[in-house]
Amino acid sequence: MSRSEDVLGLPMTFESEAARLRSGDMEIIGRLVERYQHRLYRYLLRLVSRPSTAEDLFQQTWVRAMERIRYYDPRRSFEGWLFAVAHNLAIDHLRRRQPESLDEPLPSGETRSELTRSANPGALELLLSKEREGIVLGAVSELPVAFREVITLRFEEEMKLEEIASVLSLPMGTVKTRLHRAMKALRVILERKQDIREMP
Amino acid sequence: MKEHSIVRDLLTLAAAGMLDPAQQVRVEMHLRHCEACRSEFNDWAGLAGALRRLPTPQAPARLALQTQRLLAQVAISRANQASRLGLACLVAFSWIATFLTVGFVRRFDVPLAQWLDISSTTLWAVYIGATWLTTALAAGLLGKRWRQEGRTI
Repeated sequence: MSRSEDVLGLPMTFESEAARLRSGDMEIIGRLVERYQHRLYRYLLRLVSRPSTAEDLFQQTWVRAMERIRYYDPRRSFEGWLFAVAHNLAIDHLRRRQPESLDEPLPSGETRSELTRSANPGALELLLSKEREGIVLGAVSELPVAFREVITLRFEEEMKLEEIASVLSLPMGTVKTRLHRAMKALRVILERKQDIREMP
Repeated sequence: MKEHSIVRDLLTLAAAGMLDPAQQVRVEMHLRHCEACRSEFNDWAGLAGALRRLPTPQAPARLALQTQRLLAQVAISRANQASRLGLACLVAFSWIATFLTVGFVRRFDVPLAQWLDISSTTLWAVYIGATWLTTALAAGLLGKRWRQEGRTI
């Protein structure tokens, strides 16, 4: 008998698990809420930055997931499907609240794409060796949403290229390009922060 | 030189573990003899490592419980909606059933009323009442069952 991915951490047959999920079985959905609470919340928090908004979107994600559970294709990863639901809700929310583009000027006057161009290797290693997570986190929060999202999906959620592409509904090549640009932009921000810290 | 610039562009993705195996081998081969790229790769690997070690914000303890309650409410509300729809369908069905059987009853109403020793008007009232009562009883039983199912959620 075929087996699906281990959605609940329990070995379940493909047929029974898919049937229970698609029939809107509250017990299985309740357990999934618990299982994914921290990861989904973290993902949403990285996107919207505000804890109260992340909580609202967390709840909306599960309501939407439950509404659409019958359309969930069990051949797909449940995690990828869930994060795609969350992604769509978060992006809708951000579009309503703050339409943002890559070339929108930052408070510093630079555009985000300008940030991605400069580089100053060397300072970064020093900075990272001190494990200043707060600084890295602050730098991540300065990135545009699209960059923040791909960073969190790759490094925090540890999703594979195919999964990220599925969540974002983007071709894999675009995901790679976006991640490349996101890392470069992040490095520039970190180096700028380091320069500021080193100023007399 | 061309290989150097190509590989240099791949270093971010190499550090992120997002290259396909062929590209990964290509990068590794280049790093063996290019110190500049090795240093650059180490920087990117350090950044990737820092990103992997970012502290995970914990969802508030109440969030999962609140969400489960919300989902249960949504499920019950949806079941109630379905119940109301079902009731509306049954009412419609009772009307249709009444009208469809009118011809049959009309054909036998006089002998039937005589046999039951009641007036024709009373016979009609009993007939319509019985039809609707049966439908209402079915609706009640169905609604009760749905409510029980809703409670098990």
